[in-house]
Amino acid sequence: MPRFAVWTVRAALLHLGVGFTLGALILFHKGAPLDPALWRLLPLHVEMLLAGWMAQLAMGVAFWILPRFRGTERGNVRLAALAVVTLNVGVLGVGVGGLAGWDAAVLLGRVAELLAAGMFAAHAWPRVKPVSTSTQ
Amino acid sequence: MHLLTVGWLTQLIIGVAYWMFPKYSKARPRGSERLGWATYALLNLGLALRAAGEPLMAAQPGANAGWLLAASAVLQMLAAWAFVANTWARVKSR
Repeated sequence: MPRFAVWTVRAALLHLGVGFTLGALILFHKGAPLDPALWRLLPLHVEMLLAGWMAQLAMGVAFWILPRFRGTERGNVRLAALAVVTLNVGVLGVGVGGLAGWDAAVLLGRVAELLAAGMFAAHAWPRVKPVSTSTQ
Repeated sequence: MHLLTVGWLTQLIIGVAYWMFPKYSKARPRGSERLGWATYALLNLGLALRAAGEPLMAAQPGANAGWLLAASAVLQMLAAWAFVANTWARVKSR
């Protein structure tokens, strides 16, 4: 697994652990009330698990496993890295903005997530090709 | 909703990652098999408790069904961290 994929998949794993922990706090409170303010964690919980865990894991695994160019080359790595950084900025923007009630941060976070998706698609597009031409 | 996102999507990812991620070592290619089974048991027991607890709590809000949800929360959180712990060292460069 290339180093970039290692960092991306490990970041996704952290989002999984923290996202499940936030969800557990909310669910625990639903069953055995602790503090009503825990409900405010919901947007961060959702964002960490859908974008931070699932989308980021998909990016890391796709970067690792999609067909390569000329044997080992994985195309525009900087674009993929920028996509992952932007995705994490977006997750924080939407999650923390939702937690704090900052609508501007939520909006900027959504824009960042959209940009991340576009950048990663631009990185991956030329790598999605028949196996028989994967070394060209 | 969570039966789909946790019971299907996340559990499928966990199973495929356990199967396909780089080997931990020649002797223990998939890391701790015990931790793998613990993840499976904790996640599904947690989900089952939630699936039972949510309608029970809606029907009888004051009853002890709330503790099913609290237990479900703890079990699912432990499942996630067990998977992270078992997978972390398998996510590595050659």
